[in-house]
Amino acid sequence: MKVFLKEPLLHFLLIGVVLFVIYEVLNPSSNTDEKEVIINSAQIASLSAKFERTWKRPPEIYELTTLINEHVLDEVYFRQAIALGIEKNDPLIRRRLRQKMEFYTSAGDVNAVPPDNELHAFYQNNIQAYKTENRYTLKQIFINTDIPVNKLNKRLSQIKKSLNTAGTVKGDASFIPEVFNSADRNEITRFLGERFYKQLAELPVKQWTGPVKSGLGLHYVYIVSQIPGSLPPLKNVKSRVIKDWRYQKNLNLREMINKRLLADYVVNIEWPVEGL
Amino acid sequence: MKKKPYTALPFPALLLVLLVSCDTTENNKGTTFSESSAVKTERNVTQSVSVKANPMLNAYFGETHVHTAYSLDAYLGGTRLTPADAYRYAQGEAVVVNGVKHQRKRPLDFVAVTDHAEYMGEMYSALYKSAPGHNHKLLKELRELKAIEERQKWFLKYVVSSNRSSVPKHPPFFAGQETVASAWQLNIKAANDYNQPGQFTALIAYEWSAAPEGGNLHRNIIFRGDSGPEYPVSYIDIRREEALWDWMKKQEEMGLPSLAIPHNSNASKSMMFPAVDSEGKPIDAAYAKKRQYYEPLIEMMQTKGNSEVHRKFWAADEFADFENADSIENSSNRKFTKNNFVREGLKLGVGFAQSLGSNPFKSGFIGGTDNHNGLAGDVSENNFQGAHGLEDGSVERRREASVSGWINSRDQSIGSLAGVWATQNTRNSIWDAMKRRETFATSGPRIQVRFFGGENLPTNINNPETLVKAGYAQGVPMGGDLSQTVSKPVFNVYASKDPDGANLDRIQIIKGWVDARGERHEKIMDVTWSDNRKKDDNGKLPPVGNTVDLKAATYTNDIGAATLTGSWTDTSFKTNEHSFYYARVLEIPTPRWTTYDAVRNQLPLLEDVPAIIQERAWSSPIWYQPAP
Repeated sequence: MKVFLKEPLLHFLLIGVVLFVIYEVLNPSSNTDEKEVIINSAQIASLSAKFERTWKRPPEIYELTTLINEHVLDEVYFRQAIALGIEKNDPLIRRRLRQKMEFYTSAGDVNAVPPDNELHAFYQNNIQAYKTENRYTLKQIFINTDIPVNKLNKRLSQIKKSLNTAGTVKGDASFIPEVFNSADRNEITRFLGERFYKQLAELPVKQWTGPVKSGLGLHYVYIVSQIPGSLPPLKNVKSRVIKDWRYQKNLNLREMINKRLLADYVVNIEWPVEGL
Repeated sequence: MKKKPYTALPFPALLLVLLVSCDTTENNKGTTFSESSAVKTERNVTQSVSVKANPMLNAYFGETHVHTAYSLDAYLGGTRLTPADAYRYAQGEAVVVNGVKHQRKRPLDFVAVTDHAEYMGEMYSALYKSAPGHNHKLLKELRELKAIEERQKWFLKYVVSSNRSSVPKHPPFFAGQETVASAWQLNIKAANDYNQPGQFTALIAYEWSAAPEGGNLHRNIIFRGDSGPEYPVSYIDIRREEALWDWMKKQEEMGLPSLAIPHNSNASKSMMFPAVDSEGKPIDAAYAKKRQYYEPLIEMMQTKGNSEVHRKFWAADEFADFENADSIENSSNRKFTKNNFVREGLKLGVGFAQSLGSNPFKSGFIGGTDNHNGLAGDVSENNFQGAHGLEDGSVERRREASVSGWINSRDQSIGSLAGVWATQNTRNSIWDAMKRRETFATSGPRIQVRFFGGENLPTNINNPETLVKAGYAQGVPMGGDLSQTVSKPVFNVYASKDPDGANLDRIQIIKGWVDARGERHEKIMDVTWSDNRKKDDNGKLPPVGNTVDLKAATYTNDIGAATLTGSWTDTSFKTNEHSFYYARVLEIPTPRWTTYDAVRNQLPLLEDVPAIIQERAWSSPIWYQPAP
């Protein structure tokens, strides 16, 4: 008996029965319509069709009966669950319902184009997003670091010396280009990674510096020129701005719908009193 | 929260929205234009850009398999991102998924959004009020209804009820095939909007999701150009792959070349590499030729597991125990069989090449995620927050729940990344590389791998640039065929680590072949490795070590190599044996996504999934077919 009392399933069932009784007591007016489950011929046809799609044959009558009985039980459980309100505290169900609602309420014209003044204002307000990133023309000498530390240090100091005396130095074998020509972020990070690209903005121009670290090893770098990111005029990025405007308009619309929904409610948020 | 009666919520809300949306449509009347003209205008703009090209080819990284809200299952799972969102995310912008902001650390080079063709039209008419069908008489009727109650009734009758039935049907105002075409045009438009030659490639694509008897025959169809067919054929239109290829042929004749990428062979119930066609007849040379032509690639790994090999059938492969996704066997009567895995499929393929004269399963390798959140190429182990809407959208559910009908959430691999060797980042260049199989897949990191074969290749190369030049001049790259050789073929391989990731452990070459009696064989060779390790007396290379701190979910690059270069000659090569060779590059051990998830949320590590993994890259194979 003790084991029995600890059984969570039993607790669950008992709670269910209690809630059920309470519900019946509180809702004496439940009428017979709500107690009626009708399975019409269209629903039966659709159950049958679903079976057929899976099994490539129509269900036998006993199989169809089972499907219908399951469907009836689904319906009855659904009604009971709603009646008991157990969906209200299930975050998954709540989120799913919200998403279904959002689905019915999604809007947004995929082809909308703003009037010129609106487009211009949007561009001005979001101008930072259209700034291009720095491009670089640079030379680099790659040093493979998969060698013992003492050897590596010796190599580095040798290279530094010959670079300072304007000699040429051959880097270690690699697939990294020795020269990048007006290369953008994508082109540089493809070979050298984000960390390397980010360091470039800090490096002096027209002189050898380093070693600079990348994910692949060390590099001596000579920046021939930095082409700083700039703000392209609206006409050069018009189609992108229109896309962003549409995107933002959709977000705004969602917000507007949220607001209209909220307008029908008085929301009181009871923050815990300070000190409690 | 002060309440109105709970039951009163839905209908006023729905109606309100209908009203709101009617308003917006009217406001925009003067500024909208038709879809087709929009596509044309923007397409013409994108073609005028001149683009840098690298004759020695660049590795471009991308996604070939991602679903958005236009896919019914993704939508039902809670996904709200559209194809446009997927492209924005791919380009590095922040999106919100399951209420949480999500952003890539590095943009992708290319993406094929592959929404299911099935139910695409239904999603469209539901999602967009500018859709064809919008002016259907029922919708006009709706706009004429004044009383709230009448509108409520209308909405229940025509939308909600059909949505609630066990087999959702198109509501009466659904415009049939024309709507599918419109949804598809929207997909195409989004791709054309976000395609930026030289910077970012958005490939026009969709998924054909056939699953006869629950066996996964899914294919992603990727088009080469700036336009697609009138509408995508679905499983409802075309039941089996042979008819799909016939349709692709017809499209190609009309100037729309495409290729099909099958996936999840691990879940195909032995139908991915079959000995018989869809009518049960033994496959013949015509089947083999068609399939080889339309299906140059196969997706190696995705959220629902790695299809290369399974430890159960490959005990001798010490790296076979990697994202085996065992729990997919728990539903739909899926059972793993050796013939379902890619390596075995390749062997079966060379077997058929021997018996039929043509190889039906001549598959190069490509990556994809099958992410159903619209998160293209979301493959960073340290940034994974689920791939299936609500089902794995919280840390609790990722640890304890399952993606229904498929896999225990914690058992998911988070998918693979597609690598493509192309001269430039444009649709044509990337698609052409896929078509000639010059592609590779990685389990997530941006490992770059070069692989060449040929009898005249130099064997003493330590400079990767020379390796590549010699490879193209005197041999063939991954995806190619060895010419009729008289001497032993040489294979040269080079890999560089992800510049923002972990070091490399080793490169292996895997050979598969059939002997004269048709028996299948394979051999795995360690070709080059880090840290000056020595093979033991049995020829086994000791493990690279492990730097992972499980408490902090971190690793260091104190072990492993940044780049590896190697050469291997097949001394047991026989000129009369059909064979294939591919390279597998292994990283040093790093934390699995479940480990990052646990540490981030201060939860104990899960016991039944590995805490660390060795990420990897697979080059497409090089084949050898003896002269007939």
